[in-house]
Amino acid sequence: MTIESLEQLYRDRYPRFLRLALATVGSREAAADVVQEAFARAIRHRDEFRGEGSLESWIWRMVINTGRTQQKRGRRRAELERSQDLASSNGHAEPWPELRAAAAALPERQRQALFLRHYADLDYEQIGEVLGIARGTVSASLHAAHRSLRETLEGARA
Amino acid sequence: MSDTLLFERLDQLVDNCAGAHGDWDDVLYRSGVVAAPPLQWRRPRRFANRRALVLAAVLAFLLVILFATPAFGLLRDWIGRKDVAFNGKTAPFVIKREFADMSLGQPKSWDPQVIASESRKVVVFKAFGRHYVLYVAPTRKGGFCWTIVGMGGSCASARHTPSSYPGEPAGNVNSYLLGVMSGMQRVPGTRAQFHGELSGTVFAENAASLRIEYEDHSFVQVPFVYVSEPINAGFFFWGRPSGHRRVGTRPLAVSARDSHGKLIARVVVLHEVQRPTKAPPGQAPVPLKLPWRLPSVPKPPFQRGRAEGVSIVAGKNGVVVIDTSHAAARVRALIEQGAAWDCLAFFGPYHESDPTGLSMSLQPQMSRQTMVLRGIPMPIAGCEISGYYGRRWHDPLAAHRGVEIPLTARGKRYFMNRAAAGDLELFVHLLHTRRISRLSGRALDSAISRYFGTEIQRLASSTSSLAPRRIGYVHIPGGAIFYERSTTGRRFSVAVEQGKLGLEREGR
Repeated sequence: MTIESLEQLYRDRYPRFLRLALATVGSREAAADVVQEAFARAIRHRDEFRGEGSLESWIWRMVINTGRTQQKRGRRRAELERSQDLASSNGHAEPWPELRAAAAALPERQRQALFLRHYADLDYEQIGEVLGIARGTVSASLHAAHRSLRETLEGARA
Repeated sequence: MSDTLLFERLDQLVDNCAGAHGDWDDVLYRSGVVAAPPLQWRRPRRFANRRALVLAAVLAFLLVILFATPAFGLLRDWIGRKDVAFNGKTAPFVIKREFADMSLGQPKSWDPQVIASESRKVVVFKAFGRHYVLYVAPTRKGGFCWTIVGMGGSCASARHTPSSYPGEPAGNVNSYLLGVMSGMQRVPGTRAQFHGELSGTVFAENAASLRIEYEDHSFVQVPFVYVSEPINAGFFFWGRPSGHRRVGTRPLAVSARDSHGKLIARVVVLHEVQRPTKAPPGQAPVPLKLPWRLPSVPKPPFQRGRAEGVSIVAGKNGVVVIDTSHAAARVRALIEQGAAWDCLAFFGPYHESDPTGLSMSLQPQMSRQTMVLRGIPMPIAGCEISGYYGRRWHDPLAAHRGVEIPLTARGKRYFMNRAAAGDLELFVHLLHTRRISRLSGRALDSAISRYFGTEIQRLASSTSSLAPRRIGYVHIPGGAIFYERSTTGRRFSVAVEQGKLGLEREGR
């Protein structure tokens, strides 16, 4: 694997990587940082890529892991900011807050499968490769996630 | 609720980011990738299949027919210029870094402000049986920088056409429209070298053909590419045939002509010609009368300097000789990877500058090289060897060049000051990369502490003492001013306010 092949992937798929990161961390700036950091890590650890799966899957995994790390840091930062009363709001309501909350509350594997399906636009096979699970497990995870979200939304509507 | 509705809402939940594009340079910078050895020359792709081979053979046959006919004279001009859109393949990291490094350590007015991330591969020239890849990048000043891998390059600021251009050397016509450089090549298997290629830039938009004129009054049309906006300039690289290396047959000048054959610009190749030659019987005499002969040996009084086994001897006549035969292993490795040398002097309104823009490649097999500096007031401040390496903070060379050989006390101070300024510049760039350049106050303190520990010192005031080669900062509203003190005692500073760089301020 060469840096050029990573660059090609970056240029070809950047909006999708960004969208997945955005779904994970919630802010555009943080999402861009996640993608940058994920690719930087990929370059640093490129020797560890053994070619067992596709390069793209490896990168998706990097983005997910980096997003997760960023999210943890973000939570800590948010708590700190709350304690210092520094948090601010731009006054615009976010769309579908109950859906957002429900997605955030999903078990991790379901949430990752959901994001990879809807925001990275990967098929079940690729999602399985990224998450290291069987195709059937992907299908079951997505089914459970969709059902859970539907129930939340219907509950909110009622 | 249907799946379709759920999926629609999920889709609306996250912006689709269409049209977003990232910053690959930033990725490379974060990854800590350093410049790789110079690019390996890529061999031309083999023909993918038999059909392509047959097609190529037919094409080659047709070209032979065309070139063999009298029509060649008409076609030749058309073949001379090739228009290229500036939308080619983006340059690899090592090239972008080379372009980015052009700004390091430069006084502000000399900084080309090249947009390295926009650098593009333009064309591959072929000469001496090898391929030479041309990369070009625009600058924020409206000009461009270019490099031919392994051969060096140059920058041109925003063009302006002078209303008059007095004082041109004999034989030159509108020389501001042509930039010509002469490079050295080594004779394979020997230590000998010869004037090999001519390369350069064409600023005349209406140039349709480019000629190399020989001392024997013959000439040859050479191909050149003309790159579209924002570059809007032509480039050529021509390898001299073996039959044109002796006195009497060498290149005399490069000239550009329009589509009607009218002369637009002409530049005499001063590096090549040492004395005018007699005209062959029955022909008009050579019009060129060179005003001087280029010297080749330094004349006393000498300036001498040495560092890491590399020695420099500069003569009063502007001849500088570098000797790398006893270079340290680190320097030899640097030269093996590709390096160039140049010298500096202080003159003009900027007080410090590269006097000639002349930078010569160092070849591992050639331990001595000579450079002739013309029109530069002596003494020379110093000479240096630079490699094609990337830089990040902390720089392994502490922001110094590969080898720096001061020849005067002022030159020594310049090298030390430039290193401190360069180091500060790299550090401030790192603030951007780490996304902490917009912070101020306690948030900045904590971010700096997290990333750099106690390495960066918070100063009580702008006049607080600071150890040499240490970086300190003071708060200002919306940011901070960062300071670094050179080992000469000179203090450099950069204000970073709301993520933007303020004017560079200097103080004691």
